[in-house]
Amino acid sequence: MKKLLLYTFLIGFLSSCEDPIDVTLESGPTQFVVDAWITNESKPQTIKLTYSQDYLDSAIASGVAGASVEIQSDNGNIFLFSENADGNYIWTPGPGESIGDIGDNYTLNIDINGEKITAQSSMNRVPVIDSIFQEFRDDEVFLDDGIYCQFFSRDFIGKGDTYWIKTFKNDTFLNRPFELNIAYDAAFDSGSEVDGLIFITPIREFANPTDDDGIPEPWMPGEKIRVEIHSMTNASFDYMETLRDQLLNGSNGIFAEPLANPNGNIETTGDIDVLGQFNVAAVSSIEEIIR
Amino acid sequence: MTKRWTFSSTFSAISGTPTTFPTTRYEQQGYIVPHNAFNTRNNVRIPMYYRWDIGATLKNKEKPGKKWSGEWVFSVYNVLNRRNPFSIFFRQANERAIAGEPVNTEALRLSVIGNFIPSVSYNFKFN
Repeated sequence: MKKLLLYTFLIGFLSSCEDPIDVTLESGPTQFVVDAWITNESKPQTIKLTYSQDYLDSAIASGVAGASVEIQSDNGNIFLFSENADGNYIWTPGPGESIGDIGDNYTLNIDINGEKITAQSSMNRVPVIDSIFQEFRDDEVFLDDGIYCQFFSRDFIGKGDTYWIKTFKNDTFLNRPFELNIAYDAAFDSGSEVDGLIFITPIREFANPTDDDGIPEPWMPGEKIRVEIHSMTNASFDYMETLRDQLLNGSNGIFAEPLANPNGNIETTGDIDVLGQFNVAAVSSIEEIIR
Repeated sequence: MTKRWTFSSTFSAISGTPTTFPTTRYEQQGYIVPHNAFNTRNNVRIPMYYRWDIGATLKNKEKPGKKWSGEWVFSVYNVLNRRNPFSIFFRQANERAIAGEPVNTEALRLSVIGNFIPSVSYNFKFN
């Protein structure tokens, strides 16, 4: 709570001196972007191929058409992704079918007009979610009175399990930068030495939606909460961790960091690097109605 | 200037800190990733820092036999009222992105003290 107090103070005090400005940025070459986060769920899996665009160009990225996309697993299965609109390539599993099991290794193969793009990933283990705890809180500093949730799950014993925890409110993914919730074992990063524990409190509490300033908002009775844990490879975790630092830069005030490029795992035979990340996740989930 | 008034003025100019600006952006799972396509660090310098401060001191009239003397100091910090950049950084909007709709990205300038600050003080000492 003290931390929240401090953050609120910093946001309130320092944002008064923060102005959006016009700057001229150097223009970079257009690069292929692979957005390939696949899960073992039995529902359509999408890989998105787009082009990068100028930083201050806020248009929707244009999709890459005419590519061939497939994922090969190390037990010989090949999954073909067929082209849909706007650079989306989709594989639809049959009933009960999924891309594979925990421990399988995968290779992503993309061919764009002769340029061969590849990436590797493996599906790591994911812990079950035991329960969601709903609690009515009142008279807490800076928090509105209402129902707040936490999820309970225990990290596996053994260092180096990495997860992306996603919360959905009425089936809408909570995707604000503040709501990005990734975990290394049961805590934030590899230095924390908290292996095999129940996810620590701030990570549990990230299951709540936030407002524009990153302050948690309460749930309403009747709303549906779903929490999913997606396993990540350590490479994907590093990628998301670097990205998180960039996404939350605006709330750092005077401690804003200079830019750092997240290091993707996509390789190419072409001359220009390909951006993005390939990850195959095992998913565990739980859902509940707010009482 | 006169027997009782003294004036002072300070002008500071500090060259801008080098920093890294993105060139391009791309999307990953709905989040906007800032990217420097040339993989270079410190590719720009933020604008220079200028600040002009002025001050005036008015000494009290000296009266023979008085045990103490005092003075009024009037000053203005940052007379030009410049918002000097402490840092310039980039982010995507904090709003919840809606699938299929574009996400805005913006450049922000942070100034630690973004205004001029007038002040008045009174000093005194015993003789």
